[in-house]
Amino acid sequence: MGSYAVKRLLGLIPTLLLVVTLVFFLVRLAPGGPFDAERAAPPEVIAALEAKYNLDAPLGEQYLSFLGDLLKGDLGYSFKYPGRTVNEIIGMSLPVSMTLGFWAMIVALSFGIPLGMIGAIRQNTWKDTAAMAVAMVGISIPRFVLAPLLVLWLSLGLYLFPVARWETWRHMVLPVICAALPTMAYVARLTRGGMLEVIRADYIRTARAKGLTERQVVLRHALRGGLLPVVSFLGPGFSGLLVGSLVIEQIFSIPGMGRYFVEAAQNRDYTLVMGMTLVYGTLLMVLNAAVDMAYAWLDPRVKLS
Amino acid sequence: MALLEVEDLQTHFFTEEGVVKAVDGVSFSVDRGEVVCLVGESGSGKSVTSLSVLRLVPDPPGRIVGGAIRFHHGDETEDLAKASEARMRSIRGDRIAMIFQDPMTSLNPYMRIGQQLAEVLEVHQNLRGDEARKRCLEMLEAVGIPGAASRLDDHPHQLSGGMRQRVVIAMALLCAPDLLIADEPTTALDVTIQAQILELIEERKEQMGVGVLFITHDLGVVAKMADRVAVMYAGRLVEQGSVDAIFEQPQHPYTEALLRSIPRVDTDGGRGRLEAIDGLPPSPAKLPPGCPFHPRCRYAEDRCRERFPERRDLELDGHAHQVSCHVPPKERG
Repeated sequence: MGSYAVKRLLGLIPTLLLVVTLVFFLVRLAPGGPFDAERAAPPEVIAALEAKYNLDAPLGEQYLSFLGDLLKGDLGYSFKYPGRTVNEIIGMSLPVSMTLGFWAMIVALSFGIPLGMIGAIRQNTWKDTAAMAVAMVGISIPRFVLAPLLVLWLSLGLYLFPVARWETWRHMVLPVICAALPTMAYVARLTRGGMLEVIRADYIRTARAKGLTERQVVLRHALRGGLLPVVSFLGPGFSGLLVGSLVIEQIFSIPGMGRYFVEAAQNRDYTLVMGMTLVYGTLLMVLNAAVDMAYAWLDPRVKLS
Repeated sequence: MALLEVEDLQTHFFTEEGVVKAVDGVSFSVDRGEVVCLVGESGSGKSVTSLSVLRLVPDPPGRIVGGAIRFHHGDETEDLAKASEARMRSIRGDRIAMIFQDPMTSLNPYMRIGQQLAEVLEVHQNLRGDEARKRCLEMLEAVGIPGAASRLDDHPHQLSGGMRQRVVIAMALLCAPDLLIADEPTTALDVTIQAQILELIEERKEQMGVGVLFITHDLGVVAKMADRVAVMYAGRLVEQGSVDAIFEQPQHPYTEALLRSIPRVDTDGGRGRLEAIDGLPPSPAKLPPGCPFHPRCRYAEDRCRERFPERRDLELDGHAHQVSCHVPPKERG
C-alpha cells in the first residue's frame, strides 16, 4: 500500500504538468488581457506593465520561465492585486476554504449517511419518504437562497450566530450548514442507493439465517458494501465543496479561495489562474488517489497495482 | 417423533397484481437423521417453503398466513409460524441452519472467512477469540478444506466455488443444528464438485444425526440423497412418499411425467427422444381452477378442472404415501 501511494503520487506529476500547460496557453488564447479596463490606459503604460510582467516576451519563453519559477515554488505576482504574490493569496485563502470544506463534509456525512440508511432500511415507508424529502429539499434549494434565509432566521431573528465574517466557531456555523446541506442530500441519496443494492444481496440473507439481529445485519454486513458509492464520491465531493463555496464566501464575507477562483479567470489574472489551477488540480488528484486506496482497503477484491 | 412437522402451510405474496399463493396448503415432516427432498420446477414454491420454515420470507411482500410449523427439539414443541422474532433469531443458525444455492454470492465478500464463521458462535454460544477460532478451524477441517488454518484469514473471493460451499456448510454445522435446510446447494457447482458436496452433506448427516430438508429440481440428486420425497407443483404438494416408491410407482401424473423427462443411458441405448412435459408451468399469480396441473395432464377429466383433489393416504411397500389426484392409476387410460 505504501509503495502504491508513492507511485500514485509520482504519477500525478505528468498529469499536473499537462493541465498546467493547457491552462497556460488557454488563458492567453482567451480574448482580452489582464490590463484591459473600461477606460483604456495609454499604450506606453500598457507596454511598461507588460514589460514588467514579462508579457512582451515570446510565448515559448514565457512558458519556460513560468515552469522555471514553478520548480522553485514561485507562482509570481498577481496582476490584479498589485504587491501580493499568488503564493500569499493561496496561503491566506486555502486554509480558510479547507476549514469550511472539511467541516461541511463532516456535517454532510454525519447526517447524510444515517438519513440514507433509514431510507434504505425502511424503504417505501413514511420514514423513507421523509428522509428522501429532506434530501430533495437539500438538493433543490440553491445556496444563495438558503444562506439569506438562515441569516434571517438564526442571526437576525434569534440572534444565535453572527451574520458574517470568519472569526470564531460561531461565525462558522451558518456557512458550514449552508455548504453542507446540498452535499448531505447527495450523500443521503447515494447511501440509500448503495444500501438498497446490498440489502437484497444473498449474503445478507445468509447473515439473517445465522440468527443475527437486524441491527447486526445492517452494521456488520450491509454498511460496508453500501457505503462504497459514498466513498467514491468523497474526492470530487470535497473538491466541489472547496470551489463551490464562492456564493457562501460572498454572502458571509469569508476570505476563502472561491472568490479568487472566479475573479482570476474573469480578470485574466494569468498568474493567479495558474495558481488556482495548480491547487485545485492537485487537490482533486490527491483526493482521488486517497479514495482509490480507501476503496482497496474497504473491498478486499480490489487489487491496487 | 418427527423433528419438523409442517402442516397446511400457506405463504402468500401480496403484490400489486394480486395475492400470489406461493405456498398453498403444504404439509410434510422431516425426521431426525432423515433426508427429505422437496422437488419441483422453478417457481413451484419449494424455496419459499424452506424460507418459511426459518421465517426468512421477505416481508413485505410475503407473509405466512396460515398453517403450523411444529419444531420438536429436546422435550419442547413450538410452532415457528407463531414464534416471536427474537425466538426465531435464537433458532436460526443454531437449531435450524440453512445452506443457500449460490456459494459465490452467499458469503459476504468484505469479511474474512474466519469472521463470518465465528459470528455464528458469538451469537449463539457467546464464544469469541481463540476458542471460537479453534472451533471454526475444526469445522473447516471436518468439511474437508485443505490448509484450513490459512483459509480462516482469506476472503471469499480467494476460494473456489466448491470450497466456498464447504465454508457455507461449515457455517451451517458449527452449532450442531437439529435441522439443516439445503436450498439447491449444488445447482451452482460443476458436476464433480456437486458429487463431493453431496457426499459431504450425507457424511455430516450420518455423523451428527441431523435431519435434512433438501430442496432440488435435480432428480439425480434426489435419487442419491433422499429417504423421502415430496413433489411440489404450483405451490401445492402433489405427492410424497419414500424415494423408492416415488421412483418405482409414481402415483401422480406430474411425478410420472417428471420421471419420464429424465435422460437415461440404460434403456434403448440412449437413442430415444427425451420426453418433455407439454405446456409451461402456470403463472403463480393466475393459477387454473381445480388441479393446477390439469392443463398439462394427459389423464385430466372434468372433475380435475373443477376442484383440487383431496389428499389420499396410501401405503406402498410398507411406507406411508400421499397423493393428490382425482384419477387413480388404474383408472388412467
